[in-house]
Order: sequence, then C-alpha cells, then structure tokens
Amino acid sequence: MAAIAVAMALAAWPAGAAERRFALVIGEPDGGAGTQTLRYAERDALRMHAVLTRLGGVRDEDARLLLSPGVAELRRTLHELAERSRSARAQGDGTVLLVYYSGHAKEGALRLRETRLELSELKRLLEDAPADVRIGLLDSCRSGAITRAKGVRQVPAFDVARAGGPHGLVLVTSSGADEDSQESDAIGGSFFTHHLASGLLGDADASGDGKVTLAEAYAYAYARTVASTTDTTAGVQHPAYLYDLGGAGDVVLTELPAGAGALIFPAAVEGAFVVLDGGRRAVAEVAKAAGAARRLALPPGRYTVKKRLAAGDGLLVQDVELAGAPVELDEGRMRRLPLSKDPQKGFGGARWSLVAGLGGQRFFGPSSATGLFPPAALGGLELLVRDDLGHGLSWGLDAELGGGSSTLGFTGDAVALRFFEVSGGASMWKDFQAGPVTLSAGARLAFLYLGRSFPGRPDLQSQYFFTLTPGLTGAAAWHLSDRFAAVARLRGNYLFYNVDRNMSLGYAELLLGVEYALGN
Amino acid sequence: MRSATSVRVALAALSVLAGCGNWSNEDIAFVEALPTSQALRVALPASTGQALCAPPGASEVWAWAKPAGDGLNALVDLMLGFVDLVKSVTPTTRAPDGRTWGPFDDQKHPGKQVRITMSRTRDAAGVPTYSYVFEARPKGGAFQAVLDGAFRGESARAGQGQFALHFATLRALEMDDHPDTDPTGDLSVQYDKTGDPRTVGLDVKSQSGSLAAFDYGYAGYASGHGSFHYAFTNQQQQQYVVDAFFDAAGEGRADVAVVLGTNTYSFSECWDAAGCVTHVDDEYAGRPLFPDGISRLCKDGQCPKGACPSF
Repeated sequence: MAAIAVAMALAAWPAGAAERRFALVIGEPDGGAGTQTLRYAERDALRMHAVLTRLGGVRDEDARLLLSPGVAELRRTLHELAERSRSARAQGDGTVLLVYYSGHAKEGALRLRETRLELSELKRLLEDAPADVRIGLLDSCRSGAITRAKGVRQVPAFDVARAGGPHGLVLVTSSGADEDSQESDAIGGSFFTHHLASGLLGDADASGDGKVTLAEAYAYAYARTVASTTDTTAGVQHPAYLYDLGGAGDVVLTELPAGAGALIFPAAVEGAFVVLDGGRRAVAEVAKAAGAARRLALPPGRYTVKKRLAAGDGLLVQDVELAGAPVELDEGRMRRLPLSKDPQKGFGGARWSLVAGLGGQRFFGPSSATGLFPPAALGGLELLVRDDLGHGLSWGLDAELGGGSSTLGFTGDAVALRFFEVSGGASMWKDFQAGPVTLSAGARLAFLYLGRSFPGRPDLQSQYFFTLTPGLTGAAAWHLSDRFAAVARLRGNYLFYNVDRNMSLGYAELLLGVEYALGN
Repeated sequence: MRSATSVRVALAALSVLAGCGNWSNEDIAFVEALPTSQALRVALPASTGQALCAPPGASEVWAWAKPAGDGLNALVDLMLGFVDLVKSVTPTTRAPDGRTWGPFDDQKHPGKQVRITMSRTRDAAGVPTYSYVFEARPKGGAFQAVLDGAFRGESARAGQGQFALHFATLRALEMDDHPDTDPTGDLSVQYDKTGDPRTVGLDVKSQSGSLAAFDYGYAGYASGHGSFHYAFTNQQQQQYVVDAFFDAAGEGRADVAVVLGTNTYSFSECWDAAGCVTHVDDEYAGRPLFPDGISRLCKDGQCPKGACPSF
C-alpha cells in the first residue's frame, strides 16, 4: 500500500528547460568492528553510478563515486555537490541532488569503517542541501529508522500543491527500521539495489512511456525485494520510504532512449527473466505479464537472458549481443537447460581456453639428493574447458616438454648427463571466483616419460622411464581482459619409482603463463 | 581378512602406477666399477718405434715397448669385450646390491650363452667392493667362469681392481678366438687408480707359444710420463727383464738385463723424443745377444757413451 501511495503521489516531472542533477554514490563494505564485510556494497555502488550517469541525466562531472570512504570524505563531497547545486540554482536551473549509499548501518548511524554518520545528520544535510529535490537512497540494515527521525514530516499522498515542478526531500530505504538488508550471491548484489537498478533500466516503467519515475522505481523495488526475500533465512525485507515532496509532477529518475541499444521483451512474452552480463552477474530482472512490451536500456555488450520455467522444466537461455540498436528477445530461440547448468550460478556452458606457460619441475625427498631426478625446466600447453562438467567444474588436457642437465652424484665422480621429459595429463578441477582471480583446485593424472643420455660417455647406455603419475593441481588465473589472464599453476604429483628399488616419490611443477580464451 | 584385501587393493593400485624403464643410478654405479680401457690401456708416447734416425739409429729397446704395449692392450681388449657386453644391455635382474645380465646368447660364439653377475659389499667405512664374474656355457650346459674380478673404491675413477681371465676355460668352451697365440693359463691383471701414477700389472702363465711366462708392469702419471717393467721367459728359458722410463715428450731410458744360462748381460739405452738413441752404456757392446736374435745397432764406437740421464 505504501508503494502505491508513493506512486500516486509522484506524478511526472514537468518538462523543464534546464535541470542539473548531482549524484553522490557511496559503497562501503566495511562497517567496522562487530560487522561482517559486505561482498557487494561496492558493486552496488558501481551499478547505481553507471545507471545514473548513463540513464539518469547526471553528467559525469556532476557524479561522485566514493568506494570505501570515511565519513569526513562523505561530508566533504556532499558539501561540494551542494555548492555546485547552489551555483546551478543561482543560474536558474532546477536541481536534483541524489545520495545513494550501500553499506552498513547500525544503531541509527551509517557505519563507514570505524566512523559513523548519524541518520539524523544525513537527513539534516539533505534537508539543508540547496537543491530543489533531494533524494536519499539507502541500502543498509535498519535504514528504515531514518524515516522515523524527527524533523521530517510525512506528507499526505496527494500533496501536489506546489507549482513549478517537484521540490522537497525523498528518502527511500532498503529495509524497515528493524530489518536486515540482505545480499545475494546468486544475483551478486543486495536485493534492494539489484531490483532498484533493474527497475531503473526499464523494468519499472509500468506506464511504458520510456521514463522511470521515482514512484515507479520505488514501487517496483519494493515489490521485487519483498518477493525475493520471502524465503530467505534472514526473513522478508520491506523497503520503506519517507518523502516531503511538493510541487507538480514526479521526479523522473531514468529515461530510456528510444533509438539506443536496448533489450526488448515483446508483448507476448511473459515470465520472470534475469539478464546476466559477460561475467555471469545479474544486471537486471524482468517480471512481466503478456500484453505489453518491456524495454531494458542496457549498455552495449554481451548478455545472457535466462528464464526459469516451472519446477522440473529447467531453464530457457539465450545469449544476446547488444550494440547501438534495440534487440528483441526471441523466446522461441532460447535453448533449454537443466537447472544444474544455470548460468546465473556460474554455468556459462563450456568455455575453452589455451594456456601456455614456462616453469620448472623439482622432485623432493632423497631422489633429488642423489640426482636420480634432477630439477628440470618445463614448457607446457594446456587446453582448458571450464564449466563443461557443471557450474565451476572444469577439465583440461595438458602437455609439457622439459629437460636439463646434471651430474650423477657418485663420490669423486661426475658423470654428466642430459635428460628430457615429455608428459601429458588430464585434469578435473573446481573453479572458485575471487574478484578478478579464478582459483582452481583439482586432481590430475599424467603420463610421464623421461629419457637421459651421458654426453662423452658412449659406453653408457641411454636410460628411460615412464609411468602414470596421479596428483593434485591448483591454479590462480588473474583476468587481465576478457580474453587474457595471467596464470600460475602448481602441481604436486606422486611417482612410484621401481627400477633400483621401490620408492614413493613426489614432485612439484610450477608453471607461469598466459591463458587465452577461445571462442566468444 | 579385510587387511589382506586392503593390501591387495593397494598393490593393484600400485601396479597400475608402476613404471617401466631402465632409469637407474645404481646401474651406472655397477657398470662404472668394471674396468675401462682408460684404466687399463698402456699409453706410450707417439714416437715409439717409428722414428727414422740417423746413426746410431733408433732405440731398439724403446721400440720393443710398442709391441709389448700392443700385446697388453690386445689382452685388455679381450677383457673389455666382455665389459662392453654388459654395458650394452640392461640388467636382467636387479637387487639392492646386485645385478645380473643374462643368460643370453653370445652373438660372437653361436651355441654359447653368457651370464654376468655383479654383487656389492661394503666395509666398515662404507667403501664398496664390487665383485663380478662372467660365465659362459654351451646351451643347456653348466656355467663356467671365464673372467672374474673385483673393484674396490668409492668411485669408479679412483679405486683398485683386479681380474683374471681364464684362457683354459675359454678354450674348453671353444670361445678363444686366438687359440694359437693366446696364453694357456690365466691372465691376471691388477690396476690401481687411487693415485698418481695409476698402475697396471699383468701376469701370464702359459704353456704355449713362445712365452712361458710374462710379467708386465706399467705406471702412467697424469703429467704424461711413465714407466713400464716387463719380464718374460721364453720357451728356451731365457729371461729378459726391462725397466723403462719415459717422459711425456717421449724421451726415455731403458735398463735391460738378459739372462742367458748362467750369465747375465745388461745394458742401458737412452733415446730422444724421436726415439733415436742418444746414449748407450753397454759393457758387451758389439756382441750379439745369441741366441735371441736381437741385433744391436749401436756397436761399440758408434754410439755416444756415457751414463744415461735419470728420469
């Protein structure tokens, strides 16, 4: 009901000749002592900053993105934007000042590491800011408390008395005064910001006029956040609002440019869709019924659209390339996948890549001391097929060539030798994503062939040895771009040596190289 | 029961991982204990016996060294033929302190089989001694030792060894390729690589050919100079004893004693790097050393006289 009230209260922003918008976007994962680091606070801030500058009418020079700032920097930046707003107003422009915060809040204050900003002070700062419209969007636990503070009056839903466009203060919070705001690994962000951003991209455009108003965005974010958190262990999360907004019309938060690139959900399409970016992170959701088309104003790029079907029916998935023109989703061309291959859970289908690396091999234990298996230089190639066996489950084939020279460790003698080795292995491993780094751990079975000869000693017979060697493999891949990653691979293998006598040996291989992603 | 099953499963798993090959440091250690041509061969300066000298001519005694060295080297080659056989094939069986090669057919002697066995023991100080025996047999027959020996030393390049080649057994097995000239008894060789000079000693007892006994000693220094001593008794029971010394350039001196009946004749010769006589000290110069047929080129009055320099 609250959402409906706001939606009705906020009509469209009248066409104005000049309007300046200022945005302060803050992401703070660290709430100081007694709080857990938030995984997605900064990403939430980045998403909102991107939406506001791309679709929200905020010029780049009027936007400030603060990641992990202290309160002092927050105050200073807010003051700076307020002064810029004051200057714009002095020139006769209408102004909007928007503050977005994703981070911790506790005991009536925003928590930025070990510093605090009381919610009452934030309200006061917004109230006093020299802008026609001041909007506070708070995605933090118990942020709803700000709506109870003194000094802000909750106005009637139909207070549109003032003329000359909207003016006043609006506060929107992600949760109630006694509720936690939740993050989701599945969507890679907080529920509230995710749905708010989805709405601003177009799914909240209930009127279909190509503009997402504050009322539409709030109504959408409220409904979606409540629905998404109904089954979470932390309990349902209810976004809240407080506004003191007068004047005619509503605040348009984003405009969806008609001719620009966008993903169009045709009128006939219905259901719940999730749009994932190239990193398999959710960038938008669309929940629509048949009857009206829906437009998501996404930046150019490659996306995956997922539609979840009824229980047991799996998913429909389609990859979409967006450039400068709208692209219409064709549900008939979406391919069906089992739930185990949900791209949102990291499964993007088989991703092939090649790794080339250089490094070395070293046996450990007594075998190295006697020179039985001296250290070797290695070069290798590896074909990786990530996610082919399921989410994060990958396999690969590798081949290495190496060798070196050494001397046999007889007392007083130095029997020089040269050796080479060829190995080929098959590996299976699990990938773990940690920011820009993919960590891998798994098992490998390799075939190893070694040969050696004794230069200057034609009387000594060349020797060889081959065997299967099981082992463990681990890697860290630092993604430098969409296609290239720097890779460090470490292997530990077991080798059963049985010529002189039975010995269980171990050896390690370290390869440093580059991974190149094949295909699209 | 369960434990036995677990062991079987573990063994089965290990068998899958069992390697194949001959990658072995110990194999190298064993074959390195066998004599090498480097250890046994007599290395004489190149000038030996080949100079065209102005009168009084080339040193006969020095010229004798070459055939004597060649003779020794030929016997060494016979021995090394067996060694090469070992080095060319992978051991058939391995034990922590032993290796066996064969039995396998001897390509050079059809119908014969050979087997080589090596074992290793260590003394209280941990110094290893490698013992080996080369055996041969007609197919289906019993093995007989044709060569046996031992090497003691921490390293292949610094140790003492000895071996004996049993010509009588080789002949009995019809594996002696030179039955008319090879000795009939045992050829015993001792060599020492522990210091400078390295030494090789050879002793043959024979009942065939022109020799009844042959005793040879050689010492080679790292600097290139050396000495050799040999004594032989021919079938006429005439004994010759030669002690020779040479430097790296080939200059040298020999002291020779010839025992003919109850008389002993001795002389000394010196030669230059070209092998040409420079000094002779021969109390019986001018007289033939009947009946061995050795002719002395350096007659009295033709050779410079005086004591040879020492080496």
